[in-house]
Amino acid sequence: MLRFLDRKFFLVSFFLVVVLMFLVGCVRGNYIMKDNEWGEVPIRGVVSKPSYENGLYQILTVSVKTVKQEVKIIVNRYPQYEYGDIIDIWQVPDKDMFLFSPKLQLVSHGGGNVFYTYIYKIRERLIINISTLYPEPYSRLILGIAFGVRMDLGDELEEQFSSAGVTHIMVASGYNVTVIVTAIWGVLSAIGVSKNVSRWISVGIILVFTVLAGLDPPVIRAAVMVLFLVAAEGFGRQYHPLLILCYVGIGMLVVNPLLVKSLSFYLSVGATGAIFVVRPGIVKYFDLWPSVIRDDLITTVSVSFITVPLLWVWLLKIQLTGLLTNLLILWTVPYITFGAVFSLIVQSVNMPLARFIAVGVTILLKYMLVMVEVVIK
Amino acid sequence: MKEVRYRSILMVLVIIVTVVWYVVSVNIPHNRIVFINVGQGDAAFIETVDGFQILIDTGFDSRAVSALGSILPPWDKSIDLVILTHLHADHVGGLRDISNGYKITKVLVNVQNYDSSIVAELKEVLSRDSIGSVEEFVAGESIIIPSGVTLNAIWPKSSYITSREVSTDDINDTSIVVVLDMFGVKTLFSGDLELGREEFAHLLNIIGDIDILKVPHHGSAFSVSNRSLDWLQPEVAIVSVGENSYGHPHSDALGLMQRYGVNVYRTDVYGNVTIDVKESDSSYRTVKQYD
Repeated sequence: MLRFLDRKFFLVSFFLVVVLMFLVGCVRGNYIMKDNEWGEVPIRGVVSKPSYENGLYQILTVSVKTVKQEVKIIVNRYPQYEYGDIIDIWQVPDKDMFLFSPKLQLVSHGGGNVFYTYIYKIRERLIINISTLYPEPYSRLILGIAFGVRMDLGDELEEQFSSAGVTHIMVASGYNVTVIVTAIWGVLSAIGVSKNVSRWISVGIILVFTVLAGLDPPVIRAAVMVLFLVAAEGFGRQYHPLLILCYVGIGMLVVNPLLVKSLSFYLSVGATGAIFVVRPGIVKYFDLWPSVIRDDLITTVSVSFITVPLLWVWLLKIQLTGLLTNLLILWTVPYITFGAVFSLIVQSVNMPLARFIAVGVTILLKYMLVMVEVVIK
Repeated sequence: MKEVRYRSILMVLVIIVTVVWYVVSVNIPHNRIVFINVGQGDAAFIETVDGFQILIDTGFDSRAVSALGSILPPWDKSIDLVILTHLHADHVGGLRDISNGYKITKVLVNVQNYDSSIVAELKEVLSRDSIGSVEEFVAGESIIIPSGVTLNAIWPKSSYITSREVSTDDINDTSIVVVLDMFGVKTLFSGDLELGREEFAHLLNIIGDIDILKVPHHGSAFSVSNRSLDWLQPEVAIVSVGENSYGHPHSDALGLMQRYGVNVYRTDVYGNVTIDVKESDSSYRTVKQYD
């Protein structure tokens, strides 16, 4: 009886929280999506993320304080803008908050947040250190896979990863966060660091990683979930991943209602939900599969239950190649991540040894590229 | 336990297969010139048998550094010499990414008082720790590589770049023009200086007969002329070109080279074009890599 009441109380409170968040989201969405009063040009804004370079262009994310909006701007690759640059924009953005090649004028540097400025300096250093150790395109792949730093891989490689259905590997995702947290906990417990200290270190590293990865919805989602997990462990409370996923998903929509238009948000929440909901139901059908591939296979199939229809609805394409490619390459991701981090640590002590480790990681990346090529052929 | 064993075996197998394949596919140093497909722009990688590496121009973006990743073994992260022919983004824009990943012993560039965003960017890049020294390279100067390969600067004269204001329009005319003599096989690199124009006809006499021509200015209308082809008599011409709105390569230039019986290779058609030079008999062969 008590259990039933507990359950009933839980369901009602959950429902009420969802309704409340929905209403708050609607109000906030209405506020954000109303016609913005841009005023007269020039519009002054601050570059709020490192620019993303793509061929002849760079893509800027510019925060405009007067309307509390972020505008995406595509401009020529030169001159290059960096985080914190204050710029005047001589054109009003369209309703999707987008501008192509407007006239821009740099007003001054240093308009960014001190914490982010510091993190983005680390990002710059990280890019140089990885580029010193690894040849292209492997260094860009590592930056995406291990550190969530998305860089242009060139049209050909981008197309190959997209056709093979594994773009999620080279962008920051919940999977990256999970791998990193597992690695941190493994290393810290191996060297005898107490659980309490490990938790705080993990929280710090997750926060830095989330900013490094450009505060994209999938990473924020994963980071918040992991932070809940760490908190639950710390306070000795039970952790309900599905419940937390719902709260985090809705919470993110409240903060930024424009996420309703973000495919990566739906893919992230949907894929994670599928692991908690679909996976337990289908495990029994894979008993006869060899253990070496069973785990990755079950996860990939579970996730596909959500991602395949979602991609079909959104992009009108059915992509099943991802099933095979994920099976062939997903197992390399933790090794690549550990190897990349390890080679970076060794780099500061012994360069030749770091290069040796880097060659090992490069081989795994080469295997990944060959498999992607084989699958799409 | 069993799963861990399976995974370990699989991992070891994959590593062995890839290592063997990797070692087999890695190039050992040899005399070669690789005209890198960087889209609309220039980048040519030169390597001699003793491992001396030169890069002439760096393209616009990261495509040159990506190509270097496949041309060089993963542990080779240095370049001896980079020559930047002139200060246009499609020739110097890729230096930033290259200097992120590679130590460059020396950069040769004639930086003039030319005000543009790319020059500001370039000056910042040239001051980086990964770049050893920065020097000018003007007509009459030569670089002799230990193996006997030489690079002779034909243009610009020192007085040409210091005595005049350089504007956006005529920056092409300040391009460093060099002749690479690799065991008797002569290759002409002239950046965007249009050798087909009358005012540069006097350079043809200095350059003389060559074997391979990096077609100036991505094959523009005045990149070659009857007179320039009469003097130079190239057997092979490489047009480094990509999608563009300038009409490069121009049909007149392509037609003229065809009439002179020059074998023309376009990087937008063939991808990277490699010239392997044989030291013993001064011969060479062209290897095309279809993208």
